[in-house]
Amino acid sequence: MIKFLLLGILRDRSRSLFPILTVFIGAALTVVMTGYIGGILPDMIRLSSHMDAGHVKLMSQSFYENRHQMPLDLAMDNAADLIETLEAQFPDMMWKARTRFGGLLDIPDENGETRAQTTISALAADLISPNSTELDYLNLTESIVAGGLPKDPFDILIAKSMAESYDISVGDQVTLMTSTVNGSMSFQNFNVSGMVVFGIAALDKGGAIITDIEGARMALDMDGGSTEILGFFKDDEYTSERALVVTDWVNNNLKDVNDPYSPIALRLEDSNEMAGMLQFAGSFIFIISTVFILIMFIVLWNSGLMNGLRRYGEMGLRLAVGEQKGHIYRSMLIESAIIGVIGTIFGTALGLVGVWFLQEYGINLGDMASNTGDGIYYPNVIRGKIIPACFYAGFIPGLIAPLLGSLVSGRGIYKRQTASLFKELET
Amino acid sequence: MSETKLIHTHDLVKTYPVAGCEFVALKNVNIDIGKGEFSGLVGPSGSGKTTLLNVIGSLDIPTSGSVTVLDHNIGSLTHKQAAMLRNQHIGFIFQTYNLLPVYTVFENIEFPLLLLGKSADDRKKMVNDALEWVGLSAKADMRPAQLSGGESQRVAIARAMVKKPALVLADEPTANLDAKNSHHILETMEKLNAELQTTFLFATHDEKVMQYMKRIISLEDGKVVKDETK
Ligand SMILES: Nc1ncnc2c1ncn2[C@@H]1O[C@H](COP(=O)(O)OP(=O)(O)OP(=O)(O)O)[C@@H](O)[C@H]1O
Ligand SMILES: [Mg+2]
Repeated sequence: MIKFLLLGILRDRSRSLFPILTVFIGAALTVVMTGYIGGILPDMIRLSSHMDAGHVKLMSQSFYENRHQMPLDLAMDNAADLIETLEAQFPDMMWKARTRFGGLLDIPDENGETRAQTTISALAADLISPNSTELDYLNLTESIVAGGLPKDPFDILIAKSMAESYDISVGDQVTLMTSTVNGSMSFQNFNVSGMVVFGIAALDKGGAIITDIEGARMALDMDGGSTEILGFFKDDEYTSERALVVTDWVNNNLKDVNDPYSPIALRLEDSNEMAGMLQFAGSFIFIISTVFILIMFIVLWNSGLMNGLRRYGEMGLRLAVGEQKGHIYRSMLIESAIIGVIGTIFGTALGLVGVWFLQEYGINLGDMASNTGDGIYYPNVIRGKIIPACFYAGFIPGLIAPLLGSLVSGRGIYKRQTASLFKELET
Repeated sequence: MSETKLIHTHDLVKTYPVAGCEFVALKNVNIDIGKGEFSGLVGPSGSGKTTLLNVIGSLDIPTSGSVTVLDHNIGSLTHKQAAMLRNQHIGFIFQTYNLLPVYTVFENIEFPLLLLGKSADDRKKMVNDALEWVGLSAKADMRPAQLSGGESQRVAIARAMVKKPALVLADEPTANLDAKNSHHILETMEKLNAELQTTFLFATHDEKVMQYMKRIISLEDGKVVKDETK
């Protein structure tokens, strides 16, 4: 019987070619998407950890509880000691103090009078100590589009879009107005050493400035403190399990519920901003498949080729010959499974070729990358990767969509009376 | 079952709902058809011939009254049982031949045997026999589109006959054929009737067909108005 169905599929091009083509394209795209995400995810995890969350992030407990207000007064007050403890405990990791804070940037004219003011969000990191890995991790060297790296604690980098909006040039003096950890007002002059474009909307468009952590400590009066300490595995390989060992240790040994300034540790994926993305990462094959199942289902359904409408005559005849409805229904399902398998095999092959190209050559999004506003941290040159899932991902939509199509359309056989199906024969 | 009574209808009524009321297509039809008969239902268009064939063939169910075919009460069969009855014992021939265009002549005839679960060897032998009956052995590998109308109908006859059913129901089998082909296929069926004792029941208004019939049952407005045996 299967052979019989297979013959029908192979011979009746009009009936099988379009569905196979649909599955073929759908499977190929699924595989490419899978390889694309499989390739870009590690990049996204790397960038997101480098820019923001670390592999592990430590904050003081009270800062953590109020983190949305960025309460500087609740920051950890002795980063160096803590880092020393952590380095001793985890020799395969390195630890970096960073501080995030907000404020007002005052841009003076040539007479020193205020020309413009704008709110900014600042990231302070170690930019000037020799061999600082932060330059690399924050991708600063490559992101500078004008000027150069800070050489002095009171040098800053500003987002190019802000520089353009407020007509700020490299070498200009600007004044940062903010409140110190003690709550008093602070005015600190900074020298604009360069402009940056990260290709990350949140940083490029949000009025971001990057300062050296020592400069920030002086401006904010937070001697030796920082809002966060980021831990990175030296080999830069993040896994949840590895990070969990670290956070568990910190939370069991350093965290003290009675001391609001004692640290609490979060893994990359537990950091607020990352949760959604990693959740997506965990189920991306499922999500892509669902999308393609829906699209292909609709295409196959609308095409009318899968829905058996054209084939009521054949169904009527088969009923007359004595085939049972259930048997016809099953054979329709088998047919669509065969169509699904054929389409998927070829589609997967094409998809793998596509992923291979993505892997070898990459796609340079260039300017496009800097224009995307989705706030996800990814590199300009995206590369796919042939991951094991590329070999099976196509089969999920490739089989489910045609089966679903037949399942739905096949119900027509049940809904119609034998005699009325049969009537189609006479017309 | 009485050995000779293949079909028995008792006060058979079939109505169709049409625009809110019931349209009566068959009114108290009482007929008996014995084994090996070669008989025809005749009557004007709309008189209920196809309806009666469909009910006898278990493609439709009676509204009231009863129809017994090979000891099966058609009205009380499940879909499954009806399919089994058709599969094992009934062959259909239609005005439009209804061959599956994708399959060869051989495969079209083979199809009912696949459903019966016959082995490949059995199928081959039976299909070749059937091809021989209708004189189409040479065209076994052709597709329906390559056949003439007469040849197509002969393939349909072979398909209906290949499993050697007890009953063949033929609805206007010659309507699309010229005189020569009509005679040819009727001769073929007459021969099979004689050789295999298959019971044939036709629906027709073709004079050419009627002259072959041993018994003619006339329908008018869903009622049997005449029943003559030659
Ligand atoms: N599904 C249906 N719904 C409503 N009316 C129907 C249905 N099927 C048949 N009829 C009606 O029942 C009557 C008998 O139809 P039937 O097809 O049995 O006639 P027939 O004798 O085969 O005619 P013909 O010689 O034209 O084939 C017709 O008036 C037809 O309109
Ligand atoms: Mg009719």
